[in-house]
Amino acid sequence: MTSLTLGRRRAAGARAGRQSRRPVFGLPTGIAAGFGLLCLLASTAPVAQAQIIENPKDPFSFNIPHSRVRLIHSTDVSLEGTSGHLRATDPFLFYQAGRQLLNRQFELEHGVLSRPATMDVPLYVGAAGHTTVHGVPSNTRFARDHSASCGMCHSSVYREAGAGPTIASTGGFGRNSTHFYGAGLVEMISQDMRIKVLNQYDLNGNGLIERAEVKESAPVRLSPVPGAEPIDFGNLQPGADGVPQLNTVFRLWFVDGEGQVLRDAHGFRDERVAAFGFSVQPFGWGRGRRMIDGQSTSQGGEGTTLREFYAVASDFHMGMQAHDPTLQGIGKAVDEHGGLASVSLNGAQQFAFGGSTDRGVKLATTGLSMDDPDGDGIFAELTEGDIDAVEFFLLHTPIPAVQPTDTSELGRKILDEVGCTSCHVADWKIEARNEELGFDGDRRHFHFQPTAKKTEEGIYEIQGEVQLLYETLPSGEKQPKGDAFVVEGIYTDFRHHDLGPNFYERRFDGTLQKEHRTAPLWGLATSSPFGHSGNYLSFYDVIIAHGGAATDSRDAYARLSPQRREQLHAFLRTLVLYSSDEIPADINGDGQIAENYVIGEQNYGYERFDARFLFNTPPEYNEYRWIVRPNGRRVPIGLFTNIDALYGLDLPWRVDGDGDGFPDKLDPLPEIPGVIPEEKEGGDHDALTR
Amino acid sequence: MTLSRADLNRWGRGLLAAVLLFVTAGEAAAQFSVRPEDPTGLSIREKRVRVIHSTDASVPGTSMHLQQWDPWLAYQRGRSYYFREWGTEDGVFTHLPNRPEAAAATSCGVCHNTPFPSVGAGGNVGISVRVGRNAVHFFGAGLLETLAIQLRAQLINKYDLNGNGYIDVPEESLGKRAYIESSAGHVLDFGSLHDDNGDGRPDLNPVIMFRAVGEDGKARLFNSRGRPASMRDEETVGYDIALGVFASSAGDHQFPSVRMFSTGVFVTIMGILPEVDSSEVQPLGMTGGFLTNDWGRFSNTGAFLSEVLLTGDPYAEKDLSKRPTISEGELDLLDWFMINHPAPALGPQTAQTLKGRELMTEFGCTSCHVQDWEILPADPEKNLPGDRRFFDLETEYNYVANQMQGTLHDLTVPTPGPNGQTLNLPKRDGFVVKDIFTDLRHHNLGPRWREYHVSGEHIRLEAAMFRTSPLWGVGSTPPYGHDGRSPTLDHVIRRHEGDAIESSTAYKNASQEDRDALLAFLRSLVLYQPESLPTDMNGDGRITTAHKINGHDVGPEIFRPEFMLRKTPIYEGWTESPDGDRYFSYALQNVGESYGEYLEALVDRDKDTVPDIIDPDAPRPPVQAKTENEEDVGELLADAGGEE
Repeated sequence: MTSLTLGRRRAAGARAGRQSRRPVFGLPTGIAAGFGLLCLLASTAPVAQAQIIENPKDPFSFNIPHSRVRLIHSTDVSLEGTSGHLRATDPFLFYQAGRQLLNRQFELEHGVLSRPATMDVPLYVGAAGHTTVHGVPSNTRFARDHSASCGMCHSSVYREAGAGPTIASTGGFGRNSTHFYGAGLVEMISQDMRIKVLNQYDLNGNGLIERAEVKESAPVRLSPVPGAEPIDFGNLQPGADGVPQLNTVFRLWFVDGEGQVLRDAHGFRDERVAAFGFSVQPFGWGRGRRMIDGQSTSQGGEGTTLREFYAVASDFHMGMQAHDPTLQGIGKAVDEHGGLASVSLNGAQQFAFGGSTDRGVKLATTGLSMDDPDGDGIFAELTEGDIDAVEFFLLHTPIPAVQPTDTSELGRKILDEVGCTSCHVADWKIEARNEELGFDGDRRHFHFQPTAKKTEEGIYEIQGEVQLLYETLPSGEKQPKGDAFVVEGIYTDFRHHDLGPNFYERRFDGTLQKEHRTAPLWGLATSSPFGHSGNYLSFYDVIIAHGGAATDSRDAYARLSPQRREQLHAFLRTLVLYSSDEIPADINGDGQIAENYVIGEQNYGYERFDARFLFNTPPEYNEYRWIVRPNGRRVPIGLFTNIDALYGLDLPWRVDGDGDGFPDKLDPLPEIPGVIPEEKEGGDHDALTR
Repeated sequence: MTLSRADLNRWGRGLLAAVLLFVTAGEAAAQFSVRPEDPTGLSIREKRVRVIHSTDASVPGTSMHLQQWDPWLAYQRGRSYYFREWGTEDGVFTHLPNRPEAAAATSCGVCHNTPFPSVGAGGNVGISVRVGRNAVHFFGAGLLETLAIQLRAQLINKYDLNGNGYIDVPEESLGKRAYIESSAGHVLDFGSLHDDNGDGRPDLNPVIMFRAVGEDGKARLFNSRGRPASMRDEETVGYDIALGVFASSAGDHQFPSVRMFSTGVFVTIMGILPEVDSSEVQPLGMTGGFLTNDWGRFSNTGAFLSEVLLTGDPYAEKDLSKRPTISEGELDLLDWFMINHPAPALGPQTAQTLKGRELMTEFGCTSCHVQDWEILPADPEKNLPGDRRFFDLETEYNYVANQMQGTLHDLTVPTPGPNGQTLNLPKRDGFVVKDIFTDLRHHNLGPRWREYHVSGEHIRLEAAMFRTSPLWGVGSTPPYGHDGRSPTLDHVIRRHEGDAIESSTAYKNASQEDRDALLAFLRSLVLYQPESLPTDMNGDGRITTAHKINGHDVGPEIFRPEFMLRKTPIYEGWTESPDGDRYFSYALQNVGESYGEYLEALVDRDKDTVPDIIDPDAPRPPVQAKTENEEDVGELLADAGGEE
């Protein structure tokens, strides 16, 4: 152990109070003074780069005004302050809690960035023994632990689940960070796709596809909306190499006759294999194929569910390990290699593809994981309740908008004519809840609909509307209605395609990835650069680079007159992201957007989707002064005066008496900062575990 | 020779102590990792060595030697520091200031890298007292920096009438305004040299930072009451200036050079303490010897440095755990890479974009977004720096191939150096910086931009004036505004009020056709991925698909700085992949040779990152010196190793 981690272990036990800031390890007084001087000379505090920080003195209220308290998972809605309770009773607070976790710049005392630049992320999914491949760069992806917040990479639009920079991933040209607007809809579509395939071919209903079930050709054809041309996702039947011939957006696992997941099986050529299971992985640019013993095996998409994507990324990119039993395999699943995990609090089937990187082998009597897998002295860096909140937020992230001009709609037709929409499929339907067929319906509590309205100035302004999708049960519990929902203008078929050499990726080990997903075009205009590697900077460049499966459309585009090409581009430029809490929005369903939105006595300025306005306990603040926002609208700015009540920090399952970030109900030492007795540091703390 | 034996000894101790703390082996890694075998050739090739700073080319492998003897090697090694993800063994996060923004990322490239890999723009980042900052690109940063140095020299030349190096108050300030020509005939007003409003600062545009000068003719940070020195202090007789061009507003990480900007970031974001300058540290009472106070020094690249450059003195720091973790020589190379990085480009032009360019002037945009600036040839007597770069990558859109293409221009002149070496020094000619579109000044753009913070019980206006954002590259760098709160160009233009109200009104009132034309032109001001750019690298007027250097096949002729190294890179070349396809592999076969790992000051046989030349624990016997100066260097080695 290096002196660094020793210092942090000590720090974690000794000083993690509500008032404490980061540990000041090894900071020479001269440096501190130096910065003081810098401040003085510059007449203001120096700027550093970060995401949203904890700062109760931010008059804009963009920063997070309270210390971090881990959320406790529960499905019992009566346990006030647990994830289950917040979801059912105060969904906008739960949404904001998840949003905070995505935006939050974690600090070292939260356990972030503890193994920076360590190369132990395997180049291939599910590769065995990846934790021991230090020093073998050709078998690893990027180095881990390089940012302190999701928002470092997903930050355009700022403070949203936006797009962002490129990082070296499996090859030198890297991967561009995608946006997560509308991500919940993507997850629900992909889960429906799996159910539809199972309904058609899993005749014995065990969730697996047996050899017998794919003896004959079993083509997977899925219609995005009723009546539309079905999309070809390949065939469940194995090819000559024994591998089902599915599009690589599917990730497979193979099981023996007992249903046990086989970590080293890749197809039906393996005699142990009796069946396979599968998931659809809609998140990520795709990982293509990998040849193993002459078998072309799918590397899948990247992330299967919102929950899994977040938990895995938190570990790899931030060094924050989640103890999330929801993501741990059940039955005969093998974590990281497949099989089913649980259905999440928010209703999404999870899969055993990793994510719960903190296994919770050793649990405190309170249920807190005492594993500390990265050995940085910080326990349970992310809890199952935290992941519940993140999943809930991502399920509800606002969808991208269309911001037209008077003539931009002309280009929409050209998109069809050129043939783009044969893969960039515009609309998808989420089926209504149907227990018999296994559909969950729309699992969201609300939908935020952006619409462009023409203003007096003659421009189209994006305005929003909060549409509630839940019903309130007699118990007071708010439960999603589970209706159908048609997702319009997403422009993807969810498949992976070979688009020719311009889109090939040479992995670090020299192998070639040919397939990448059809990028959803919504939000395109504000998430440049384009392509999985972010190598293309203009619409022209990225479109003309298409080849392979898109050759005909590319050629048709190339034949367009400059004028019609510009019309097409003009339409693509209307597909934008936006700041969900800055645009004017009708949040109370009265059909209007108030200039002065008033709750009780408080005037909040123009009506907008600041989720806090919809909390059970709305915010109160000292009104300091009125300012003008970038969109020209006026709001008051000031400091919140009811932070604990506002954020539910006084609820029984959220109270954190010793201010160490562990709520009392989870904290083995609720009255002493830290979770292990200081004198037993590094030694025996078995007395606290079960 | 400025690198003395005592220096070497002293540095050896400091560096070694820092290194010993972090004994974890394993690869250092990155935005890019150290992967010489990376078939795309974009990863970092060489293992980290704590390059030793020097101010001349006497000792091979020291920073100035690399810069002058093999400028492309210095550039390429500097690139590694930009994209490197700093790890525990580098001491990342060990010197963080106690502030919530610290420990945000492990590499410059996490925030500034679009298009990847380059010194491009990035997303938005948060800060404690403001609403966020958009990460700017550094394409052409060296040109911008040179303009800042030139402007300082021009202002001092013009208004320091007695030639004492600073502006005497009130003799040289009263009633004077600072006028500067951006290019011949185009005059800009940078404000009053005098403190007419009595706030203790000259009423210059806020892009100009000032430093009070005392009766002894030296810069003063503090007055006799311990407050920041101002023009109202009795002991102030004048002031010196610098242009803080790398900041969106005054005080906002405002530094006159990219080197200082990056040095600050190393500490504030990554907790890596940069090493002391080799020049003497002048301890200041309140700062414990960690600041230098010679405002007005220049780095090896000619970057303007000031005392707010935060540097640690490894020798002064007795606690081993607090020793610095990046050497001054490494900063020299990073600086060299950044000031030489190519500038943005002009994308394909159409009748629409040409009309848009005209409308920039018609609407009045160019009164602040000034199109071109002229760098004057170097003139030592006038302290004019000239163009400090060693190459220029000229870009042009090829309408037949429908792609951007480059032409490499060498800006060096062969010059005899020490030990019979031929050095390649920048010519320091003049250069016209085209289509940069900035006046370098700060402006009041009205209420939609203002930022506030809470101080005690009061809310205060934090920032109301912001720099005129250079528009080069603007087509590739959404979102817009210093705070990134404008997702589109249309949004950010409409947001302009205050000083820009007339221009933005002209835009708003224009026909959609005209607005589209203006936006089309702005979108044609682009960045690009330089290392994939088809480029005429050898000046033969062609761009070939199979380029050869000294008989070695190096693949298509693209802008790969490696091609220009003194020792030609030898690539794996055409090869069959595990998937059976044939491709050109840039896996590098001669890292040690091409990256100069044999040069005396870069030899590090025990791979502890401390060069053997200053590493008392290096294997014995010391490496044989490889220059004509063999005896001298051998003596240095013996001396360096003998004392511990």
